[in-house]
Amino acid sequence: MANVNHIQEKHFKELYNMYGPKVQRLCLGYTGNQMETEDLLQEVFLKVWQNLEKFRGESQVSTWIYRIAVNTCLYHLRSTKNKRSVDLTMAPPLLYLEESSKEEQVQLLYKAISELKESDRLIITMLLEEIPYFEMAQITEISEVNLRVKIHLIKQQLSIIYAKYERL
Amino acid sequence: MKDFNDLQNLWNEQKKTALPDVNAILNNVKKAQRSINNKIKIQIVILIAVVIFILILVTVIPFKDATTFIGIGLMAFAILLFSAIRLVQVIRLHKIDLTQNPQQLLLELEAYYIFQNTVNTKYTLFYFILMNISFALYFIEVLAPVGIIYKIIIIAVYLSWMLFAYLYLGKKHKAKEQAKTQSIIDAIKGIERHYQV
Repeated sequence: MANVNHIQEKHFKELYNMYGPKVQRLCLGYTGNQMETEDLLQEVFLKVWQNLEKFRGESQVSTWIYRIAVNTCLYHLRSTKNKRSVDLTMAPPLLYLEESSKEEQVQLLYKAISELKESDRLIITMLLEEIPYFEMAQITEISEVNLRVKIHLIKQQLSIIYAKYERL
Repeated sequence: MKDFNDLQNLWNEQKKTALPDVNAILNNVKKAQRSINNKIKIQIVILIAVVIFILILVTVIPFKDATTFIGIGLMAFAILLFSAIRLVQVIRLHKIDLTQNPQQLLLELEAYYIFQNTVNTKYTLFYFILMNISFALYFIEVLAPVGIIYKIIIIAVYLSWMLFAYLYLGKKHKAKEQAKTQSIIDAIKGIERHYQV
């Protein structure tokens, strides 16, 4: 029994180290908030831990973990309304932005993502993480054709929102 | 304006955020698992305690009237029913499968919150009515030996408290809970609609 637990813990740690950073970015894209991201990250891996024994390998482990992450983000609605509005006055002015570091632009990108609709935030973050289309279709259970159409629209929306921040 | 490829490059160039320590995460995960299990156990203990308390009450105090027994019986039934519903809700929430199809998850969540809304409104009203009928029946025998003045005082205090609890505290709480649950249902429906487009 102790040996089984040890193996399970080892497996869990490997999964966490491998997928933790990606899940963390997915959650940050969804919430736009560091504190909530940590809670979500923990919740995702709680579900991974609880369901690890049930994982039959019918899909790739990455697909399985991403699906848990997507569902956890959606499930997160139970404790928060998740209506986010980004405070535009907090965005740095253009001149400053041009001189600003890449990290500040990344923060703006996260802000722009958090302006999108809930499911779009998840899809675009997965796209930015360069998850293949077929895998994204498996995770979200949206047909690949529909997904491509959606992604096309989300890309346009994101670019417009990002540009709106840049102009400020 | 940056096109998507620029945003993709920006994303790839972001600094890595420190990941919380794996051992800390593992400990928290185990602790959270225990906490969920404890919550369910506590609900079950409360259910059993109510049954034991009612049995002791009926055995220790020598009640004579049938109305008293019916009153206590109804009280026990109402408490048990309501606690059982709460227990079912805790288990149902705990059992929601986060490895399933996200669209299925949204439907499941929606059903859960619609049920919660029914519990917060209709079932709570039913519970309140049932408890008051129980107390009315219980008071028939218990207040029989008490003088008329005390009877009036006790009934007045009881009615005032119940009316205050129902008309003020209950309605305020109900409105708050309903608004919260409804906002979650609306948000879920919004995502469902958006998901299907």
